[in-house]
Amino acid sequence: MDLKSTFKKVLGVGLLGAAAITNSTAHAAQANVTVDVSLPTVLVMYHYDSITLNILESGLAGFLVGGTATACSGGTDYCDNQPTPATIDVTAVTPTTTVTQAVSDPGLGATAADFVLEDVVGVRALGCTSYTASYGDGGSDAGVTISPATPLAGIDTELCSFGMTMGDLQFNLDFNNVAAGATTVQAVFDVTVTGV
Amino acid sequence: MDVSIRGEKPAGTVVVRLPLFQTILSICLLGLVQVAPPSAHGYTVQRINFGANVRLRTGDIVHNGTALGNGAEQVFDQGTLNAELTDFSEPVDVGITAGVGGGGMLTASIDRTVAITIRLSRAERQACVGPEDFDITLNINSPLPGAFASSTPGGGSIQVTGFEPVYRGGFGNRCPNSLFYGYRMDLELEGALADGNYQATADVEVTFNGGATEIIQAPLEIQMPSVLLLYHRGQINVNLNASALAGAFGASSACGDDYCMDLGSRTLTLSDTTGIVPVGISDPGFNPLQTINLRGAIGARGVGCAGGIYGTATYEIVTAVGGIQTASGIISGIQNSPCSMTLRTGDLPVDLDLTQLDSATGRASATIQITVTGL
Repeated sequence: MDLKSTFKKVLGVGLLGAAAITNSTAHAAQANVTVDVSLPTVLVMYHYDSITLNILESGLAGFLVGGTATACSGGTDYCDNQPTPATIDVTAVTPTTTVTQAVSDPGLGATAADFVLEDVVGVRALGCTSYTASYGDGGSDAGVTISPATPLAGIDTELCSFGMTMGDLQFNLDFNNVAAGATTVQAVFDVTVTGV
Repeated sequence: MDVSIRGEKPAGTVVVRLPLFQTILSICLLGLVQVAPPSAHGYTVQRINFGANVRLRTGDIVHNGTALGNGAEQVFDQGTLNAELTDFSEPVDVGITAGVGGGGMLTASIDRTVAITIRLSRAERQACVGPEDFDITLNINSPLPGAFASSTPGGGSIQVTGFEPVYRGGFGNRCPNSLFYGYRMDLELEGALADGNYQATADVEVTFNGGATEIIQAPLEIQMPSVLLLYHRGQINVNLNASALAGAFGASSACGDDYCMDLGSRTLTLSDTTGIVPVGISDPGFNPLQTINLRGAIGARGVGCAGGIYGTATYEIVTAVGGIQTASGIISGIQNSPCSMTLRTGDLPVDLDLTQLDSATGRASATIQITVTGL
């Protein structure tokens, strides 16, 4: 066995190892940066700027007749066929004979109707536990009633979350109080959602 | 800063009045001096090691008034930054600069104790000529005006901002027979690119009592160390503004104290008499992963980088809490970019998963480890 040769190899390996250890730490500048992000409390409400609600004639006619209105033959409107009147006896005929038989008014089912806009407002938030949500009248037209401080169903008392929580708005429209000749009626909501 | 050349005493400590020292020094000078031709006035200007290789160490480099340490890699923590984030699409400007936290100009000064000896003639000794009779001016004119040039092609230059002779004392009894001068040289290192030798030729202009000016040229050499400087903020506090988060949720405007997203207009039809209108607002959704871009968060300067460029420049988010995502990557503004004393900066991206934000603690945090190599 060549002891001298063996020693050289061991020494060589040792030097290589030392060089490797030295190189692994040399020529690198290192530093740590700590980043802290402070979070806000925030609430975002999603809403429509305006909603145009077209009430079809059939729906309104049905409301007026208190049931289902029937389209008039050949027309675009609706007719309510009254029961066949009783026999009318004409006792005197003159050049101008007046026959009197008043149509009987079936009356309205109701003079006013509630409209519910379902899932019309959304909200998501960070930094709160639950929502308080309500709405009131923000200056609606005559005939529209929105009760003040009405809890916003679907959002009020619900837990805050990043998932969107949706709620409903409701208004009442009294057809008796709609301005004469009006073809549009505007309901304006003031919606307030607070995270608590 | 004093740069003490091996074998020399620090500036201002030379006392050459002892006869024994005179003898020893005279013997040494005979072996070392380069003697200029005798002038018309009789004195001779001798250069003693004027062109010696001055070896700068990293500790000799002054960083805006503070000496660097001795290591080749230096790290500068530029303190805490408090920043507002109002919009995820806008970066947080960390604005690392070389002028903050002890950064800025990199300079060095050389104080040579004895560089020039004026040996007076017998007549001048008898006339008791002194330093007040000499006007000595030092200039660098080549290879660049007022600058050393690297001996490595493309290796940059070192600007000389001050070069003044310093009278150290006379050698003799009643009247000196030799006058000793050192010099102080102030250097600006911004233009240095390579480590190693930078060379210049000094013009030593000696005027005796307003007479003719004698110009002697002397080579000078400075050995520049390799150095890598890393700049960072130790702490970055980002105040995530509500508007930024609301914006990530799609909010387009403030409404009251909070934010709203107007989904525009919608037309619905009610065809029955129930009064129920299923609007079914559509959730616009949001990108849960938002990035806080810390622009210019890391800075680096270097001299003597291998191949003239930085090596790897990497970041690793080693701890992440409250929605910040662990990640790693390169710092693109620095990695493999030209390495010089001109500050290069890079950005740090921090990804934040909004769905993991912890409103209970009200904060998210991360520790980012930066590594830059190059030498």
